[in-house]
Amino acid sequence: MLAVVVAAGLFCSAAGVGLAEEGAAAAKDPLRPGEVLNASNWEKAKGLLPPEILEHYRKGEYANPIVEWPEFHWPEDFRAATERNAGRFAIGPNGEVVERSTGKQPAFVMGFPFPKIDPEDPEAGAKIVWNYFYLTWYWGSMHAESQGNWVGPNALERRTDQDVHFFYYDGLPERDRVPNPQNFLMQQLIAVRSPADLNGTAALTWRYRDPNKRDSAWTFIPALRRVRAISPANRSDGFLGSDMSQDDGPFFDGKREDFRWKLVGEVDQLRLVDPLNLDGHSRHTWHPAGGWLAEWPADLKMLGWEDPARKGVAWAPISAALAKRRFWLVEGTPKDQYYLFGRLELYIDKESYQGAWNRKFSWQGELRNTMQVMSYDPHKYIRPDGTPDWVQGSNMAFNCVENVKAHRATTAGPKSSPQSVFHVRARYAPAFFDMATLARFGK
Amino acid sequence: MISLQRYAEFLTRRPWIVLGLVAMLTALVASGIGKLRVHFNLETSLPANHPFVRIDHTIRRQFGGRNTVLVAIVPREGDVWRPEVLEVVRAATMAALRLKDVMGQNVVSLAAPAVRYVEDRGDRIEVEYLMRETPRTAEEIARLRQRVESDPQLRGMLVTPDNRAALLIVDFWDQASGLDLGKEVLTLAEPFRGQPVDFYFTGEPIVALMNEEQSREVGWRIPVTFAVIAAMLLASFRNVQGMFVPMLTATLSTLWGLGLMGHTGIVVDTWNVATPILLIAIAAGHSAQMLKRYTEEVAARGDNRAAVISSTAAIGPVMIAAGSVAALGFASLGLIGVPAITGFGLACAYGIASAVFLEMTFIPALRTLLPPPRNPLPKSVVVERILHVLRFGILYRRGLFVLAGAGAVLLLGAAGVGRIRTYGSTREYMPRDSMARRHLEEIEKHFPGAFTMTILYQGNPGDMERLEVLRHMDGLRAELERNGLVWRTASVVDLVKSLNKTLNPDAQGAYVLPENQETVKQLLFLGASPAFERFVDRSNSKAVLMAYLRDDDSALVGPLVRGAQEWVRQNPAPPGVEVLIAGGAGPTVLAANEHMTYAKIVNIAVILATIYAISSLMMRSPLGGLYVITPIVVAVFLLFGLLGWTGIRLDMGSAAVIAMAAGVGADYAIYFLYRFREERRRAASDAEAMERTLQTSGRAVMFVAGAIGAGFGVMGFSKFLGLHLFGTLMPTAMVLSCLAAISVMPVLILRMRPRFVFEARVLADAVPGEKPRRALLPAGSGVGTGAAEAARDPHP
Repeated sequence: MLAVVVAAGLFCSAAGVGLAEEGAAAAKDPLRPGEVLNASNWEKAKGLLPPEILEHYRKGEYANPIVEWPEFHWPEDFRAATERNAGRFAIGPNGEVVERSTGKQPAFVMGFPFPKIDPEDPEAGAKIVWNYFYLTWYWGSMHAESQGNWVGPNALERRTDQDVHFFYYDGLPERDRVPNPQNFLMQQLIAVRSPADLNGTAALTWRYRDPNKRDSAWTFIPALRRVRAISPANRSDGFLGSDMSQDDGPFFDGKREDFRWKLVGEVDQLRLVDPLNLDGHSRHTWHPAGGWLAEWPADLKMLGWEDPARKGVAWAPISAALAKRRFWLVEGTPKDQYYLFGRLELYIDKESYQGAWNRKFSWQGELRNTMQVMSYDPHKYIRPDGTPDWVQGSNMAFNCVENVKAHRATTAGPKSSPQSVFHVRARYAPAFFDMATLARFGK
Repeated sequence: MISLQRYAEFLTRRPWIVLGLVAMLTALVASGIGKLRVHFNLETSLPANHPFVRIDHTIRRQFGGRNTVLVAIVPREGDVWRPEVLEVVRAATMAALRLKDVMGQNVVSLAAPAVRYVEDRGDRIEVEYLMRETPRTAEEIARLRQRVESDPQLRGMLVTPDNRAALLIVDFWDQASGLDLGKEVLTLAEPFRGQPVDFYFTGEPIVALMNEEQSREVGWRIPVTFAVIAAMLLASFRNVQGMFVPMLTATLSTLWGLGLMGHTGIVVDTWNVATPILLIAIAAGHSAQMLKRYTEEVAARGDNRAAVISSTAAIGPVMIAAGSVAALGFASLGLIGVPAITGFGLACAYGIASAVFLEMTFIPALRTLLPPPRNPLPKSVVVERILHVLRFGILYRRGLFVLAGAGAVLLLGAAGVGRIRTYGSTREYMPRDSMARRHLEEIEKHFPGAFTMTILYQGNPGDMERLEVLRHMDGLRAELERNGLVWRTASVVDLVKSLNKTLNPDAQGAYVLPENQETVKQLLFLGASPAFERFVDRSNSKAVLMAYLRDDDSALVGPLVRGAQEWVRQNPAPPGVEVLIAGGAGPTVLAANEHMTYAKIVNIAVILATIYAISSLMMRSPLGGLYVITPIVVAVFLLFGLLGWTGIRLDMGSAAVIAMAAGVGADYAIYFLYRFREERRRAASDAEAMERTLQTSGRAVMFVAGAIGAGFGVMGFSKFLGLHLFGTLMPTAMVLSCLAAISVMPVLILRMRPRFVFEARVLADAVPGEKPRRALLPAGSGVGTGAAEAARDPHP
């Protein structure tokens, strides 16, 4: 229900998180950089991909080159903050991050709150998930004109385009922070631009850092000319018949406190990456109002359905590559019995804490959905004032929830058009995210 | 053509080799039994190409529905609006959501996560679970009740109109086995055994459980049938070989049939689970015919080996002809296009062909080694009296009384045919004391819409959001609801109306569709919830309109479906949109009934045509086939008349049994006619030939019909209607086919004097020393060439 709210986390794949699965099969003839994983050599990836993903390669539905990702380039400020955080934080009674010294929620955190993970620590799973979030938020606020696609095995079924604005309050570099008297975690504003009869439909959401406080959300329905407050019922619902839910976001966007987390172990996995990014390519230009405009290659086809000559499923990530990384495998069990899924498996990079594979199981333990996202190595740019800045350095985006049971998928991430905006570290006045803007956007 | 005489001589010269080879072959074929799989799948019993079934498939692939189970939670006292009852509903719903293969979005109840309530609270729109926590106070319960009753799409669907039962609808993914699901879903009631509530279940998985019970019953009746047929044969032949050899043939051919089923991948299902009974009966029948002739030859020749040779050579062609007729008749069931029926037909064809093969290989070799039966065939007073009456009836005034009697019975039958009722509720196939029937009837006391009919709207992506499409759907809804069979309907139209009522102030609370397209789209966009997944696909290219029916009687569903089709013809759907009528339980049963009743009638015609063709070929006369099929036509016609007089409905069950009866009953006419032709060649008169034929083949036909009828009759005492029909109509068919073959057919032959029986040239074929010119029976087959013509008949 109340789909526009959901779209916030879905259609702007903040181009940054990823997913992957367990099992490190020490192949006798390992995959080597330059090789293309496909139906002819899929067996080499046994144990290095979730079975349902490996099956795509076995059937020739996916084919991606293998690349190397020898080291993750750390933003200096993030690394320094992470080092300072050692020993400062703990997991609170509601699963939130609290200061060890006071037992209270800190006003702000930057860097990984838990730089060292002890696998024996019962809170290790929750800490890994928090680290994932704080890297995600570090990339800051953004404005994206992006598309959402409902994809069948053979073709695109349906598409919407939306104007998406995210405004983060926590996890940001110090110079990007704004006063936060209402203790927001983030605000988002989404306006649908197409199809035409949905144009102007808009939603505004405020999420709070208080683990016990539910989101506030409003919608504007142009046909009814009204702004309405709404209360989203269940964050695991697929919206508009899609396979994405509010809790998916760029990889996982649920309330950490709503789950019980457990570290299952460590595994080697292949993960989807932006190969241009790993080659050091990205193009970002400074926006006069602040932030960086990402320019992606105009002729790049990202999804199977965009290339009629291509064989395989229509949601195949045709421009992505695969890189081998070490992952934490974390299991999340929802506390709410009404949650659609009974168990989540998150594959989070052991070094960078970027997600790779988010596998969702029914309450009976049957695999239902697998979220697949792309990852990036941060790139350094210099602001006009001469100070260094870090962005994800994306040239493309792939954010896909595959409904394994129904053999279909929903994808997000690509820009609505080559001219569309993908503006990272965007700057907003907090007043931008209010009811007046909502109504204005909806006109 | 290989001489059967020489073939039989070969068999009897090397019996141990033959026995050894056949034993090895039997072991090889029977090894297929290990590959047999039991699979009760309603899907395989449906005509896959019938439009309703195809529509149903399309709908189920997208929206589920085949494995839906409706659970009624009924408090023993009072209504459901009490905390303890609502708590059971909540707990059962949570348990249902944890069942294996469950479709979460299709679980519906007061407490189901997919069921939401949209409420406008001034500045806020609340979209909440209807009953996340169990209400405890009177106020909370009243609020819940008010929410349910104020929403037309929820009213009556979560709590029955009489407030006596709470409903829990559970749906499962299509690939799951109905049987497993039935067992699984019943566990929902387990935790509440001590509570003052009763659980009732209905739906196809529950029917699958009943089918399993029926199959278990067939299982224990098989040995009883075997024993009854054995006893009948022992009583008829009065010697151990008379019982042992046919039952050995029956046993071996059943093993062969089952083995071939396993090797060819035919699964055991509700249709073919009774195949062993049919095979035992048919195989024993063929074997008894051979045994009868062998007994005659032993008595005539006094030499066991010579008797084996001559009986094999004489009966062999007839048996091959009769066996081919039956096997082809059953194999022709494959033309119906229903996988389960095809499997059943092939299973029967395998077994019958195996019986003929064994009777022409294993049994002659075995007989050579066994001591010949010592007792001549006994004379039973009853049988003698019947034969006497038959002889009199056939010969006196050229069978006028037989014809008159047959005419009278046929007239009576015609009157019965005029009274035939078609179809009926599927519940008639559920025994009154079965769980499926009891629970269905209990649910129907409270919930009048236990059967579904679904209509698919299909267009391009986004079409189901078009206002004109929704209006069309609303119009069809209204049309359906005018039919008393429809209790209520549900579709995306209800959801849109509900959103419009709540969210659109312009609607002023009216439960209507919005006035403009944009509002529809935006309401759908904002109001999307798991509830929509039950009615619209994610690309909005397909939508399902669901009607809840009071009954699944095809006689009532048929007019409803045709009415809806007519309405759509007069009110075409908007351009680009197709309306497919209809799927769901009611139309699927209608499809099965219509298709299979029609197909079975076609199947009867095919069987008759097969019998006609093979008989005509063997007799080398087009008329020959007509005489053979006459008794079967009479029997089938009278069976239809019987349906009319007894009130048994003509549906897929009764039509299937009659089709089987046609296939099995053909043997009698073939054996009798062949024998009469043979006897006529050497007898001085028609009367003498008829007398000998009645005493030999006629007697055997009566033995066999009696044995088979009694064997099938074991099923007549079953509480399952399908088995009961099998156990009553089949014995009746055997009696009618037998009587017609040994009374009506002989009279017609004597009156019409067809050339293939009486023509001098043909008769000359049978004269020793003359080369056969026309008859297909091979030279040296023993027909008409046997020595001691006068002495061979033990019943002068």
